Amino acid sequence: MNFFVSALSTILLGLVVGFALSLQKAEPPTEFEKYSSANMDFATMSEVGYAMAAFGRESTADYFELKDYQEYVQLAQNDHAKALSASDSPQVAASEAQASKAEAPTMQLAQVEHPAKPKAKPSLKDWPKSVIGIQRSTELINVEKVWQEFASNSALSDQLDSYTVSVFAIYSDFNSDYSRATISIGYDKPSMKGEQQLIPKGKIETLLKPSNYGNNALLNAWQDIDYSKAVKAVVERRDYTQNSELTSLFVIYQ
Amino acid sequence: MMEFLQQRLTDLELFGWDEYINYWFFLAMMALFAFELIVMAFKKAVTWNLIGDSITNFITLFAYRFIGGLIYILFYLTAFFWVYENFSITQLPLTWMSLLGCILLADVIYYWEHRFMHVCGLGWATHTVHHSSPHFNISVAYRFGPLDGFFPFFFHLPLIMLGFHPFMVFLAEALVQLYQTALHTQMVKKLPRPIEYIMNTPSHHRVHHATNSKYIDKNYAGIFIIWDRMFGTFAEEDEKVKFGVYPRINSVNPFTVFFHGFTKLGKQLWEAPSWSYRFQLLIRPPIWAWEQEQKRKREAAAAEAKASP
Repeated sequence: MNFFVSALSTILLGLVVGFALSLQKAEPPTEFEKYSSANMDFATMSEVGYAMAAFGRESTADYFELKDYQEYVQLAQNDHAKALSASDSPQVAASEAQASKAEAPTMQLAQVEHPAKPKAKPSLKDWPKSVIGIQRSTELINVEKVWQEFASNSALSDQLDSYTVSVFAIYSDFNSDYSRATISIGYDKPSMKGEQQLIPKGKIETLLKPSNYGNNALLNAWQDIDYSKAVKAVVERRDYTQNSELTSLFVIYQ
Repeated sequence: MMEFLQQRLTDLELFGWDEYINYWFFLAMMALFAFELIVMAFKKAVTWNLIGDSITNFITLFAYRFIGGLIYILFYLTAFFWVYENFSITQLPLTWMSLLGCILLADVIYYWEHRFMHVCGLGWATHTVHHSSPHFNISVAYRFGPLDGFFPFFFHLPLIMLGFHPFMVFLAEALVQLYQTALHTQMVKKLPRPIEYIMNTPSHHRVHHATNSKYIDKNYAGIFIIWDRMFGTFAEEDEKVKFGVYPRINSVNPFTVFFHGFTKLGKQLWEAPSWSYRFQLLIRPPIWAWEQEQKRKREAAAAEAKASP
C-alpha cells in the first residue's frame, strides 16, 4: 500500500510542477534564441554545443556570425526608415530589408546574409582577367535561376576560406534584341578549383558605382548602356566582406 | 532573480551545458580520486586489490559508455524527440525555472529508477555491477553494468511527455547522476544536520552501498534524501559499513565484474523449474530468487533425510 501511495504522490508532484511551469511568463525568444538544433546535423550541433558550453552564448553568436546578423537587422531598419522618408528610389531595397528581417538567418557559410553598407570601395584596378564559376546561356528574364544555381554550388562555395570575396557576373554574346545572353558567374579566387570564365577585354565604362542597390536600380542601369556601340559584355560585380555587400555594374564596349 | 529564472535558453545551450559540466566534472572527480589515493597511501590502505578494482571500474566505465552511447544514438535521442514533438501534453518554455523543475522531477524519478534497479531481477543483473566492489571511493561511482544506460529511458519518458525538452531532461539526468558520483567517498564523514536531513550525502550513500542487514535496500536518493524519508526507505549511518554485495564476486577481472550480474541471471534462468519461475526471476527482487533457492535446498535436504532411514 505504502508503495502505491508513494508512486501516486510522485505522479501528483510531477503534474503539479509541470502545471506550475507551464504558467511561466517567459520572455519571448530573441533572434539568438530562435536557433534550434532541429535543423542541424549532429556534427554541427555538437560543435555548437561545445562552443556554447565552453564560452557561452558569445562564441555561439560568433559561430553563426549572429552579431553581424543583428547589425544587419539594425542597418536594414535604418534603410527602411530612410526609404520611408525618401519615397522615390530605394523602395525595393527597403522591402528586401523587411523581407530579410522576417526570415531566420540560414546557417551555411555560403548563404549568410550580409549587411548592406559600403566599407571599402573596390576600383576598376582590381579587376581579374578571369573568375572561377559557372557559365549558362539563358534568357535574361531567367537570370535569377543562374544566380541560384551558382549560390547553391557547394563545390565552389566550400572552397571559400573567407567572407571577403568578389563575385562577377559577366553577360556576353547577346542576341539581337538583348533578351538572351551567355552569363558567367564566378568568384575572383584564382586558387579555386573549377571552370575558368574569362572577362572580355575592351573599353570599360561604369554604369553603377559600388554601393547597395535593389533590383530596380540594377535594371534601370541597363538603360544607360549605349546600345549604338558594340557591347562586348555587361559585368555585375558584387564585393562581399564579412559585414557588407557592394554591387557595381560595368559595360565593356568593343 | 525571477527575471533570470525566466530567461529563455536555447536547446543548444542546454546541450552545451551538459557537455561542459560532464567534462569538467569528470576532471574534478579524477582530482578527488587522486586525493583519496594519496590519503589512503598515507594510511597505508592502498592494496593491489584496491588498484585492480579501481582499474576495473574505469574499464567498466568505457564499456558502459560504448553500450550507452549506442543506446543513446540508436533510440534514446530519437525516441525522446519523437515523443516530445508528437506526444507531449505541452512544450514547456526553455528557462532556468523549467530546468530547476526538471531537476527536481528527474531526482524523484531517479529515486524510482534506482529502486527499480534494486528490486527487479533484470534491473539488478546490471546494477549489481555497481555494488559489487568491496571498496568505496570515487572510482566505484564509475563502475557500471552493461544495461545501466537502458532503463533510465523508460523512467524519464514521462518528463518528455510532460513537456520538458529532451536536452533539458538529459541535462537534469546528468546533474542528478553527477551529484551522486561525488557521494562515493569515505573522505567526508557527516555534514551539518540540516544538510544531512534534506540532501543526499556521502554518509547516506555509504548506507546504500552497505551489506549490513539493516542497511539493505535503503537510501536510493539522487540529490535529495527527502524522497527516502517520504517513501520509507531511509536509514541513518550509525554502525560501521561493510561494502559490497552478497554473494561476493571476489574478482577484479573486468569481464567477470562487468557481466557477472547477467551471467548469474542467465544461470538462474537456465536452471529454473518452470516458465513462470523464469518470468518471476526477471521481475521479482533478487532476494526472492535467493529465498527460493534456500527453500529448494531445505526441501531437498528434508527429502533426503526422509529417504535415508
